[in-house]
Amino acid sequence: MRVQLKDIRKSYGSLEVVKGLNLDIAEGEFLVLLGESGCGKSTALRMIAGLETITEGTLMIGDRDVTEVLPKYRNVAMVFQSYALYPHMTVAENIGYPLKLQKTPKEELKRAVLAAAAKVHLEDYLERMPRQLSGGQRQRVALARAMVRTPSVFLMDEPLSNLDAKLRGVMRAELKRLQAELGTTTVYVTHDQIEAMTLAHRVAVMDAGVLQQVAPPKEIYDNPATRFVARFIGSPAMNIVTGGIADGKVTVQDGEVPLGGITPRDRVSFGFRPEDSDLVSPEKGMLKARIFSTEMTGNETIVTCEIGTDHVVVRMDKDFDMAPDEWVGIDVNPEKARLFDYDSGERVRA
Amino acid sequence: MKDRSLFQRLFEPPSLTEMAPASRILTYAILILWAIVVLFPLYWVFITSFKLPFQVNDGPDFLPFLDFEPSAHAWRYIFVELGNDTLRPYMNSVIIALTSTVLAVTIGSLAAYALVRIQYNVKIGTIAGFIVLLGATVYAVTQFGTPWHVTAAIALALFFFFATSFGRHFRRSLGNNDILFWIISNRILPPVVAVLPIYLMFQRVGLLDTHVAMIATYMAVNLPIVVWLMRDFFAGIPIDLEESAEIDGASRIRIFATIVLPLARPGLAATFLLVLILAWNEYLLALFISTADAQTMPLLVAAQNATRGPQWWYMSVLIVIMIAPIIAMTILLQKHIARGLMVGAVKG
Amino acid sequence: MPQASETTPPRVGFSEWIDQQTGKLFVLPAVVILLAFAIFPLLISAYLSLTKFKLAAGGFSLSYVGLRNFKKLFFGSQQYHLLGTFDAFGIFEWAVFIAALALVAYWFWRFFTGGHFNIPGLIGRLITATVMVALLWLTLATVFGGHPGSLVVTLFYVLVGVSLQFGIGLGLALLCGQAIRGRNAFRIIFFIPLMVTPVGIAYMFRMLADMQRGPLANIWQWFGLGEFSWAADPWTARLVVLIGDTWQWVPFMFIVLLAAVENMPRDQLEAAKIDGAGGWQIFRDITWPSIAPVAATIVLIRLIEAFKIVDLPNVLTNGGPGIATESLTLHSFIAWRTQDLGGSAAVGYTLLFVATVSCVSFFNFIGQKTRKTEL
Repeated sequence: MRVQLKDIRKSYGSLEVVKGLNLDIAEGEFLVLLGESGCGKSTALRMIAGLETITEGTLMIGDRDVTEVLPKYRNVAMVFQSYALYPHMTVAENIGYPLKLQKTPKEELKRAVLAAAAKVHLEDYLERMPRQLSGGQRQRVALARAMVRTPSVFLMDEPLSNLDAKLRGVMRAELKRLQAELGTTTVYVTHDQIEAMTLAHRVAVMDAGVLQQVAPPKEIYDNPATRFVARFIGSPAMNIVTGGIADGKVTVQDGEVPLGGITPRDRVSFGFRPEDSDLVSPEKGMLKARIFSTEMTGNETIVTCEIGTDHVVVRMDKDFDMAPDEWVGIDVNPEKARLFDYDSGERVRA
Repeated sequence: MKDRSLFQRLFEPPSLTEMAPASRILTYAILILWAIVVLFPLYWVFITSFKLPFQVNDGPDFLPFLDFEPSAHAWRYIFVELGNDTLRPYMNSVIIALTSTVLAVTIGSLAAYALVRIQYNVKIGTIAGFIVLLGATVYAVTQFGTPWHVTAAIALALFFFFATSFGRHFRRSLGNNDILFWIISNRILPPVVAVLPIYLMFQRVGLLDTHVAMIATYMAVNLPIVVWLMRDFFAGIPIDLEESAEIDGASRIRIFATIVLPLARPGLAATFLLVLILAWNEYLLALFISTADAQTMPLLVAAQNATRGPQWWYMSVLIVIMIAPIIAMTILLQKHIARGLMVGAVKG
Repeated sequence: MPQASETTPPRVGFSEWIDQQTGKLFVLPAVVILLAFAIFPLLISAYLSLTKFKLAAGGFSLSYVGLRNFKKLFFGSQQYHLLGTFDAFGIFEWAVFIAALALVAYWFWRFFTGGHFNIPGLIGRLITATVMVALLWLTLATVFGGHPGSLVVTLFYVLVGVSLQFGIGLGLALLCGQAIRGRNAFRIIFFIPLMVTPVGIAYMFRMLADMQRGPLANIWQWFGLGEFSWAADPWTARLVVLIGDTWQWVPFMFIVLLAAVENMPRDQLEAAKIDGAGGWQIFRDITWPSIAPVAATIVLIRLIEAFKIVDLPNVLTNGGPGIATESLTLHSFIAWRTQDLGGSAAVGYTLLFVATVSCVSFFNFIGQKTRKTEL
């Protein structure tokens, strides 16, 4: 079902943690709320669930205004970071609990539990207790419990962050497939950009209670709307160097990059991704820099350079071989470079 | 949402921010009722201490100045006319409660810490030997009238000889948890079972009705509680700190004094307060062990009935001065005292 | 390397030796004190319970009398005091007793067919069942018609008192655990009675229960009870003791249960809310299972302490009317006061036995079960 957040605010006393959030989530969409811890993304999710009151604004699920409605009447399902399994109930009882509360007939309940368990490959574990399961299995129980009642919205609060890295990859793939199969609108909160990029139809990046950008993953990566998004997405992060614009060129401390058709400015944040730049000899490069350190990761080498006091990272191939403190030149692909207003951090379009 | 049943309208919150009207009213009604149940008896004792005999006897008066004219005659009588008869038990209570608590917390903390951090292996054979010798000693003293100190000395010597020579040949032994369980299980022992021999013991050595006897007894009965509570507090201290100090060359005593104790301060405070209050309130053991010189406040209050009949005004004064410090402490330090209760109960 | 250390053991200095011994030095005082003030007296008490105490010139003498003290208490002249005065079973008593027997039989049947059969378990269950059935029989035989002795009165204080305290404490904790205003104030107020000296409480409730001069006098008179004396009726006297005890001990249950309620895993609670659970369902399915281990532990702690009750009956009613409010500890104390040290010790041992069996049974057969729900 479609979920709409209209200018939603949340404050605790004088502290405002969500500052006017507007989101329109389409039916069947997988939307990921991405941000650092404390940015208000979990609060936003909990407001959709009904676990937190909404200080101001309107929340619609489908055509219904649910701003003031109790969680149990919202028909949403939530998967918690801790899974929140009921420790004294078996897997089957855990999965069937939402249906039991709805007074579903026994036969039907049994069938639904079996179906949900089958979707997450838990048929053989139905009589186990949660404490007898591994982390990944507990995660699946939580998923099955969310699916069993065919809710109108799935809400997931960092559901994979308690798993180890390998299992996280597996569960990510399964989650994506499940969501596609069920076609249920899903709002997913995470601080992990890989999860966000791989799972989402659209990613919503939040910072300090403010929505920064909502866009498909590729768009977020290629055209970050703010300097925050640019720094937050991508690993290693986008390089940001402070400079000025004059004569169609960006001038920074030790060099200049020619960019077509830009209006002059005193100060600007000049950003480029490590893979959109190259190291050349000091005389030829647009920017002059000194190598700070090199890290060989296997298939590539991450080179950190110093431009004055700024650090800039460049991705080179694995055979790159230069020692720290050597002088180099950096070439930047002008097509891929992005400019942000120095003060507001907003994107400056050419 | 409009078609809510009457039950829902009363007991289900209308929105996220509000409690259901009926539950809210019920909740506050019950809580306030219980607050009255708790506070009213205290209030009644307090105002009774300012009443004149005829005001008490004429039936209930509730409000000072409106229903009756308060008078300090009872306070004057207790503090001025009785003077030392009141102050001595009060000082006794203070001295006995404080000293016994300090000792119990010190000794108990040491034991609790050791039981958390050091592995013990007590051979069952050693314990059996100890019990056999103890029994033999008691039998010898009671049956043949041998002087008890001579017998005890011989038994002790035999015990150490036995423990060092034969004791180590026994295979079965008790670990830390067994020792801990044994210490805590002493709480099940009703004091009335233990107090008869303690009474006879102190009578034998002529310490009956002295501070020493009271302090020793109180310390002993509160020791299991201290061990129990402090063990949990100590177990909560990360062992890394102690290990790092050990590698830096600190001795166990030093580690305990400079690292463990400061970190366990909240626990110590909680345990201290709890034990202090238990010692302050104790009645039964005092009844056996003290008669006059070492008499404590609970005894003094309890004795009022026997000597003068129900003279509520005097009794109220005594109760007020006995419980006022405790209540003040409770209100100010409620969090710390409650923490002591919680650790004991929640971890079990 | 190992050989080197074998031939020349490292020299141990004095301070190092001390350091190695600190482990023993740390526990030794506690162990010695407990041996001297708990185990040693326990053994002496056992001996005392088998002797007759007589004051003699310059002290006292003890003469061995075997089990005569116990015989006197259980079957002889003191039977009325410890066990009570018996009355023949009526239909009601038989019905209750047979129902209880059936329950015990069912319990054993479950044990035999449950697949966890073992000999220590069987012995433990036999002891528990025997003692419990005996106590029930005693209660039924004395409470309805006869006069209960100090044993049944103690059981009354323990069972009724602890249940009442637990019920009220849990109720208050659940109410106070909600998001309400003034929660902290309630918490502090409710905590106070726990710390008040029991002797003080006893007098306080004597004043309050005074039907002519107490604060409720007008109410009593309105009900026509102005001339009634609660101290003269066994059950009202016991009830007043029970009320005083409850007033004191509800806070303990309350404060610990409140902490348990507040520490409940929030996620489970929220998950249940989203799944559609209402107030009662949340309590039954989430709150209760999660606080059950704590509940079992505090009930156990209270059981242990409740068996020792003495201050309140002694000061409130002096054990009266007659022996109606006497607890076992008070019974033992009264025996001591009349120079009957043997009888006193025998009563004490009876208390020790009943308390230990009850507490251990509770711990093994009820307390342990609640722990199984932990994740």
